Parts: sequence; C-alpha cells; structure tokens
Amino acid sequence: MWWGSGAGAEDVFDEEADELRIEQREWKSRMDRRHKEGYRDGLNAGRESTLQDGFNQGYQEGAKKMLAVGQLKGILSAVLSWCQLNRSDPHLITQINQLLSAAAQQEESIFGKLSAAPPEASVGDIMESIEEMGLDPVLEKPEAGCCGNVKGENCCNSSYEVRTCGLDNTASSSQEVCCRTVSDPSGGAKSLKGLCQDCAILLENCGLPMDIAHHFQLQS
Amino acid sequence: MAAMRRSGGDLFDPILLADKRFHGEGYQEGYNEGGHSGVIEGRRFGSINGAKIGSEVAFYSGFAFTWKCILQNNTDAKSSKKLKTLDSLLGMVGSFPYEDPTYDKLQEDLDKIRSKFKQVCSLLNVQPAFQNSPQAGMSF
Repeated sequence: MWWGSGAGAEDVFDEEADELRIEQREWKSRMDRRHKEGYRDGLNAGRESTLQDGFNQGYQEGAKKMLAVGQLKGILSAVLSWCQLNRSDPHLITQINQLLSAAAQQEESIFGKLSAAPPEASVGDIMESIEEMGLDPVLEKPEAGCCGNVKGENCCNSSYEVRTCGLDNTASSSQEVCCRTVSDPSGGAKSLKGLCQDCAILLENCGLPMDIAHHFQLQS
Repeated sequence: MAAMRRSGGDLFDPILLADKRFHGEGYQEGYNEGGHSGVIEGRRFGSINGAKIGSEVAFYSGFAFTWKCILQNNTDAKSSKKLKTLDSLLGMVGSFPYEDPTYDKLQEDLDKIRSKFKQVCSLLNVQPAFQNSPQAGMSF
C-alpha cells in the first residue's frame, strides 16, 4: 500500500501539486492566447463590417462641407478670368486674387480638419485633453464650452471659449488657447460667410448680375 | 485505466468548449472595438474623398454659372455657342450625384465633366486659377 508511508505520500502530493500548478498556468496561457486570437479575429471582422458605412457617411459629410467654398472659388475664378480677358483695373485683379487665395486657404483648412481628427470626439476624450492642457477653469462648464476646439477642430460657439479664457487672466495656458481660438479662422462658418459677402460686394462692384449672388446665396 | 479513458473522453469536451468560449469572448470584444474604429477610419477616409469631389464639382458649378450670367445678354453666334456649352456643363454638374459614393458611374461622369470643363475653358479662352485645390488629385 503505497500511501502507507507518510514521506512517500507527501512527495507524491507535492509532485502532483506542482504539475497541477504548471497545468493551470498552461491552461491559463492557452486560454489567454485563445482570447487574444479571438480578439484579433473579431477586430478585423468588426472593422470590415463598419468601414464601408463609415466611408459613405464621411463621404457625404465631406462633400457637403466643401460645397460652399468650392462654389465660391469657382465664382471668383470666373470673375478673375473675365477681368483678365477684359484687361480690367490691376487693383481689381489683385483684389480678386486675394479673395481667391483666402477662399483656397479656407478650403485647405476645412480639408485639413477632415483629414486630421476623427469627426467625433467623445466628451471623455475632450475632458481628458482639457485636463492635460491644465485648463481647469474651463471645466466648470464643459458642455457649453468645449465642442472640440481644444484640439483645433471646428467650433461653432467659440465665443464662449474666448469669453471664458478672457476672464481667466492668471493661467497662461488658457491665454495661449484663447489666442489660438481668436486668430484661427478655422471656425469656418463665420469667415467663410465673410468671404461670401466680400464676393457679393465684388460682383456688385464689377457690375455683374446679382443672379450669381442670389443663386449661390452669398448674402444669406 | 479503462475508467480513466472513459472519463478522459468526457473531459475533453469541456476543454474544447472552453477553447471556443474564450475565443468567442475575445472575438466579441474585438468585434465591438473593431466596429467602432472601422466607422472612424472609414469616415475619415470617406470625408477626404467626398471633400475632394465635392470641392471640384462645386467649383465647376460656380465657374460655369458665373460665366453664364456674364454672357447671358450677348446674342452673337460665338457667345451663344459658349452659352450652350456652359449650359451643358451646368446640366452635367447638376445631375451629378456628388454626395453619393455608391453611384457606380461616379468616376465616368466625373471624367466627362472634367473634359466638358476643359472645352468650356478653351471656348472662353481662359485658364482658370485655383481650378483644383492642391490635394484634389483623384485617388480611387
């Protein structure tokens, strides 16, 4: 009877315990591996399942965003070529060229934003970046103030941000952001609207039909 | 030994099941994560492509409409030919579904629009500035 000897039994149990531990470890690492493999397979499958829909969504958004600025460039380009053909006043041509450059810059800025950042940032992400930048004062009203302009994304109500920063004269980092918000024309809507209005004035000065401005709603 | 073998066979099933279960759990986690990043990635890529096409087509529409307005009161033969070509370009641009990435003739139609635009420019004897933004090279 082999279990009769106390010492022998202990040895046997120890060995078994060791083996058990090794097996458990192997089992665990095997299952971890399976989990990782599954994760990897799922990651690819999940990605493939939504990639096309995401593309289609983004495509529509991108096309819509470029509509106004593209038209503006087209109008200005036509007016410029017309003025050049008629050998118009060089001052006028310079002025149109400047507007055209501004429109092209505007377009590039919109394009840059589309290609740079994910279209949607969760509130959590933004809160994190605000914390990283040490903008605690802004945190008091996160919903109202942060709509992504912390990362330089398009922001429709930048006025709030500017106001908040303006009140907080102590934090230098806030000031920096504040300056960037003010100087950055990327807010988009406003400066594009300004360009459209300038373009409408230009058309009027050139004696061109107001149909153009109406058709593209330059003054709305 | 016979008993061991029998129970060994029964034991093997849970191992396989656990194998499947862990793989399945990982798969589900990965699938959710991948689905999320797929949307973001796809949207970014799509928005770049949509922006390029949207910008280009919008440019043509602004250009052609403006020239049409400039020329509309002229009645000479040359102007009416220009106006006809401009109308044709405007018609093509107007019916081009620039917002629809699933449109199967997208590239084909875009090429037609581009060559019509070239025709318009040569008829008008102009070389428009900022015809395309620097990044607007097509990539499909």
